[in-house]
Amino acid sequence: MRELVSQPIVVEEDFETVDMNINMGPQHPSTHGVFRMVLTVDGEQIKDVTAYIGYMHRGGEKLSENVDYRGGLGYQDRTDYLAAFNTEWVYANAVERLAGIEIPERAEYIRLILAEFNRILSHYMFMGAFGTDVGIFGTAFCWSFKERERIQDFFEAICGDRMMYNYFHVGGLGWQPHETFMEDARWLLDVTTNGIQDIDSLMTENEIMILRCRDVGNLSAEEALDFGVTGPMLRASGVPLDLRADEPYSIYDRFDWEIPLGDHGDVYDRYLVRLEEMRQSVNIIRQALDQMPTSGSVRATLPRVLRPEPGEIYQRQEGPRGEYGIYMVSDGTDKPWRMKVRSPCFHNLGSLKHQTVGSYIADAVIILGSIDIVLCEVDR
Amino acid sequence: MTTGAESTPKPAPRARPAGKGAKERVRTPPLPGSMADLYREVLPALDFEAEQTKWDVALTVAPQRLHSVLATSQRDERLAMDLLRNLTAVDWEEEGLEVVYHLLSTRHHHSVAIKTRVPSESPSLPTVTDIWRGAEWAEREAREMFGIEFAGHPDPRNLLLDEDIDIHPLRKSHPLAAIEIPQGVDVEFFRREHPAEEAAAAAPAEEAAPADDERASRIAAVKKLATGAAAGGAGERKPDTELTPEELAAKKAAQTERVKRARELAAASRAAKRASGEPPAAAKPAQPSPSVEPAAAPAAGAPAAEAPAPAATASAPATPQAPAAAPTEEEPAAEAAPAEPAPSETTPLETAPIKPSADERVRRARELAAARRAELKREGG
Repeated sequence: MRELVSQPIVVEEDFETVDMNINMGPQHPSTHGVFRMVLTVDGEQIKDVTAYIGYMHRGGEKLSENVDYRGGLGYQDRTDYLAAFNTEWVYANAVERLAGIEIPERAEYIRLILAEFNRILSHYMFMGAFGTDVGIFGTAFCWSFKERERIQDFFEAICGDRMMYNYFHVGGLGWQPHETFMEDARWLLDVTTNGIQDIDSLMTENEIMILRCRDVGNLSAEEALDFGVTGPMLRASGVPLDLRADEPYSIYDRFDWEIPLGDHGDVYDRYLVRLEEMRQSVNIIRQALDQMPTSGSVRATLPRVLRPEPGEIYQRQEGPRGEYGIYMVSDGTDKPWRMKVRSPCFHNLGSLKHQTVGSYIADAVIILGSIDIVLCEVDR
Repeated sequence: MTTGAESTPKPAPRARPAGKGAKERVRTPPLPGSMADLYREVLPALDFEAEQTKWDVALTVAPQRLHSVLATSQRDERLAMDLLRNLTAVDWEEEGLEVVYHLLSTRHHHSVAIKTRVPSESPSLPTVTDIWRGAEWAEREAREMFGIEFAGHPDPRNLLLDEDIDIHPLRKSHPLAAIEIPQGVDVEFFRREHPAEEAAAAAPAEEAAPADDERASRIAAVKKLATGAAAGGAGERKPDTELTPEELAAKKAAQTERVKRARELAAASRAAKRASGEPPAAAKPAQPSPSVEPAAAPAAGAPAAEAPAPAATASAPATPQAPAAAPTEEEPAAEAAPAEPAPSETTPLETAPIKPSADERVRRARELAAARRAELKREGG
């Protein structure tokens, strides 16, 4: 065994530091999909960020412009796959408004209930993944996935699918939900209420959570609007923009609920806003179940081929991640002339550089997590 | 920052976010035309066309005025459009490109669409990243998808597409499906190679054309369908009900032809695989092929549905070999190997498949890559 010999310490006076580039992704557990960022760091501190997206670009817009109006619906499941009911709903609504189709009221209620359940499901997914990012390793993930699984079972009972539902059709719904739809939904609401409480008691006052998330990734209201940020991220910055109330679509004007607002615009506020939004979704679904017609058709009678009058619409709705919009232009034929998806994460992710520069590498992970990205929806 | 070494023993959680009642916040949408009036009030000198879409009012302005209009929209107190919610373009072919900006004011709860038209050839607009920083990615996307240059953009690179690819897929002139550019092959190099390849693909069909008129017309219909997206555009997209009987017949014939050809191709490739002794996609038929093959062929020959493929011309030389190949297992691989190129030679149409088979694509990619390597070597030496 060698003896340790103390070496004289050489102090270099003109020692220069150089910035280092660190590559994160595209295959990296913390990037929530196929996303790559190159961090320029000075020690632990981030000096610059270059984001690379497009790995999941499938040309869904071009494809939708080459199939008829009903055919494009299936592609919407594959953009935001964690909230496919919400995205299907926007597309179906866009076509219906473009073609001037009225859908039965029962279908409207069922759509709203499913979309709100899907919002809860998506936020559960956020809680699990974000808990892992922050460092509450398995527990948050397992608890929220257990709850999410119940909602998925409910969806599966209705449409036979766990993720790519394809249940909202142009003119209503594909078919009637099963007989015990309302009882199941009520039971699920009770279960979900408890589940949200569990997540709350696990994460909200968790020491790791508070220490890591407070005052990280702050966005002021002006900055958030400047970057086109929408959804829970914008509301965490204190801007009360919720399209369900501000530009009411469907039947949202019939319900009473609260829009939770943060006041710091940091990662912790985004978590709190999402948690509270889940409770508000439960609230909305309860009211909808009480008002919902228990029988009746769920499909409007439509011509076999849809040819809307030439015109255009920018249909936007409040998805779990923000404003999900479909810009659709009709030229009078059976295919849309232009179909553009405005995805919330695309714009929310644009603010990543602004939030991360100046913070630490570990913070970049949770800032990215707090944006709640779905890369299929960013790249489309 | 995240070390947890702070002295605070247990950090206090923050107060829960205060809710804002949604019910009292529900807004009635602005009256149609009121946004146009507001713009007339704020910008009296502005010349624009107002159009009511299914939701917003769309104002079309001249491209020279676009930047000032958008800047005023954001800065003026009465408009206060603080959110650029969407930026995209629509290709109207000979009528140019229409660029659309959807704006929203979170303060006044009104929204508007501002549009402008630019020519399809070398379209250019000033960037709006100085007004909303969020426009950066949206402009990059519009730039790569439609070829619109945004003058003054801080980072005009491709965003969703490969960085050194120079195509504009959402233009209507861009085909929905075309010959694939193999990954790793230089685009310029591919372009130099591409015309020859296209000519080669088109040539056999033209040679075969004079054989008989009916066949020629069908081939023409197939070609028209194949290249329709690239050449045709708006005029070509007619629903079936508006086609003349002749056009409808041609379309039907072309479809039949395509299906037939696809089946023949599939049969040929199956036969070639079988002949070359490779295990076919489904592992089962490899061994019981002697017993299955003769039984299946006559049964499938009669109905014209899925199975006419084995009876088609391409597989005709191959099928007789299959039973012969059965008794001895090692021999046929060597014996049948020369049969592999046969299908592609005997049937002229198959030489120009719209979508080349996987083997073909791999072969071509390898060729291109090899040529590229050779070229690089020449340049370097």
